[in-house]
Amino acid sequence: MSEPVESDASLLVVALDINSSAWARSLLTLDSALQQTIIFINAYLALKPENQLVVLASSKRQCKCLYPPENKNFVPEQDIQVYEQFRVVDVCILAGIKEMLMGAEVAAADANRGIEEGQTLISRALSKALCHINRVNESTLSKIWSRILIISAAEDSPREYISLMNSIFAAQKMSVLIDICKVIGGDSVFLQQAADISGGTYLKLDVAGSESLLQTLMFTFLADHYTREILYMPGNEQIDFRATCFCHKRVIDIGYVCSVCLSIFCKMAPVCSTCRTKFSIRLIKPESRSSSASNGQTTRTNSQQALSVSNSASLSQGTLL
Amino acid sequence: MPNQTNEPVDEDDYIDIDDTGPEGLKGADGGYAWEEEYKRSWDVIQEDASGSIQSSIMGINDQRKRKRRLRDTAVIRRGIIRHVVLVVDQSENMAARDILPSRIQASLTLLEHFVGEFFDQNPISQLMVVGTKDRLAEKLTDLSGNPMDHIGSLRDKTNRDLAGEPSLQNALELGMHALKRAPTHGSREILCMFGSLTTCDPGDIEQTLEALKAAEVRVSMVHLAAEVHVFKRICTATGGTFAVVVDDDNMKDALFENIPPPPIVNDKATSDMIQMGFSIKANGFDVPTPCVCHHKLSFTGFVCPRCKSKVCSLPTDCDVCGLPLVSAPHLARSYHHLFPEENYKEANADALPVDVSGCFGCGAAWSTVGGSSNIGGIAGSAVSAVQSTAEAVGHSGGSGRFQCPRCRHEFCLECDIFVHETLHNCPGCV
Repeated sequence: MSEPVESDASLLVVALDINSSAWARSLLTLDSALQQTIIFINAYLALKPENQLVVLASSKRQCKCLYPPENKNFVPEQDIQVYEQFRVVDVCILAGIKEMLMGAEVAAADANRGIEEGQTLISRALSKALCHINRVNESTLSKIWSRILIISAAEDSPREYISLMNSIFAAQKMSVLIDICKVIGGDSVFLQQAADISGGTYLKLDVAGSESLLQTLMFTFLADHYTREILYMPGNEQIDFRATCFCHKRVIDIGYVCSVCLSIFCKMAPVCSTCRTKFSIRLIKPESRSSSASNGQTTRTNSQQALSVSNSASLSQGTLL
Repeated sequence: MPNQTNEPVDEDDYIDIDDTGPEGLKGADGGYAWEEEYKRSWDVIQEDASGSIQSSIMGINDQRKRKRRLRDTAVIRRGIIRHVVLVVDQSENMAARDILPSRIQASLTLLEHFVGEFFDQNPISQLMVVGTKDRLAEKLTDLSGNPMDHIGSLRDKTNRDLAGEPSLQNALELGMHALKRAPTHGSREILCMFGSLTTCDPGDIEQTLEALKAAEVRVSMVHLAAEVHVFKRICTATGGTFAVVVDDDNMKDALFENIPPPPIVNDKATSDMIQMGFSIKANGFDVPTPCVCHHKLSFTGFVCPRCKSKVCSLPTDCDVCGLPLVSAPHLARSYHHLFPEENYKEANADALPVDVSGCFGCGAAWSTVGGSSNIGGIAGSAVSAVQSTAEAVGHSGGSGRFQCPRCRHEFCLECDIFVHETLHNCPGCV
């Protein structure tokens, strides 16, 4: 099946970042952001009756599932003025966030295991979101288009890099889009990569336009897989996939990679500083085997080679870089 | 059943009865598989009290998943950078239709998936495809890191023409010749997909075996028909695996066993620093320019930082200067092989406190994801998929709750499999 059929239901996982120290720094209050997010969620539910929803909230210490509620016995009281499903979702989200914020204040004295103030457990939220999506996929026969929307406030925390990457690749494999709405602060390099690899959209709100969260959510992130093919989505700008070396944290073009642990270095070294492997001395000389090996990999015809060289010449003269 | 032979054989003629393999030739009641009464797959499924077969199917699925649960999680050195030669049997024997639609069709389709998955898991590795038919071995693609080349050659219709006998020796020699030039820090492997019970070789295959051992090439084989002594010996002597396919599902499992990088066992393996280029995506050309890999015109591409030529996809080797081109996420993709997640431990059913909260991963309540042995009826009236299992009744035997030894959070079977096979990080530990 090459083209998604419109009638398919979708599953949206909203991951809310409720890190209080990050929100404290913004013009947009958490309260108003929540209100706008809930309107967006209700709009999503109203689009199609079979649309499914999971809401996660993540702070710097914990990540909880707000909807569907973890406590199945939770029954909010009736109110005939409001559509039943909207009310259940609203009550669940607000009550859950309140509980988490209260809990966070109590536990603030705890040591926070290397996570800085203003950083959030995004990789845990992503992992949990993917677990939810996996369960839904396993338990239904029909295809459900899933996507994850992260409303992010906090900064990247470098120690999450590997786990975040693992989650992103899992999402890519399951063809789950990861949408990012960055509400506060500068661009997040990790989340930009998440959106780019998984095929989602990354959008950073302007500082001045913080009140326009709802508008952004509605116009950009409400569209499902099918609609996105027709729409012209805000494009991801040039994303830097270059690596930083482990030794000096410099961004490098050409680097040296340890064959055992895949650590990246900017210079040749006799011993890998990460895994303590000693490299074979012979290869430290410049006329290393890598050139002979690479020659062996591809046998090219002369015409091909000539074409490649002319290409490269024209490229280097051209518009590049 | 593909591993049955038609001729009757005397007891004395058996020379190599291997009952210790993963499948084992002996059935549950001690007899051989072909002596058993034919099991009808539909007999296993029993209706429950409400006349639904859903619970029965769930039970079977559950048991299958439990089998996959335990994996080797030791932190060992693995050959992350692999050089693999894929040998495809294209002899007349591959036309047999015991695997539908035919052996060759099924193999090639599966190999396409294999190549995709292989490069997904081993992005900085290299692959080469070799076909063998009519007593010859023929190189279909060069050793390279571009999955599209290999998939393209596997899709090529001319590869489906079958002829004559295969030659294992020729294929191994060809593969070995290509692998000899591979650098010593990577692993060298030959993976054969064979359907023939014979091989037509020009010389002594023992000499090839010695040469393979000397070159430290690991030979593995997935055989579609039966175990052949010489094939198995080559595999075991070089440290590879030999698998005989039982049915379609098993075919995929047997082939995909070869996707995670194997541990390095020999002492001669060296470690190097490999020079790699991290190329930048180039947008915004005014005119389309051709890429050096396929000579196709396009507006985007990745530029080799050394020679500034444009390639159309990553990871690959630069066609001009030979520099391996990767992006940082490709390296990150291999990290999970180096640091595998620990297996979860199944908690004892009786000792568990009643817990209102559910699985830490997907949030399903415990009552819904109980043990495999005694799953009761499920009313099919649930509205959403998350809640559809909500009415399944309790558990006995296995508790269906799996605890991570590090973070002490509990997970359901579904999440356990998912975390270890796809996600590769525990939601509780990160």
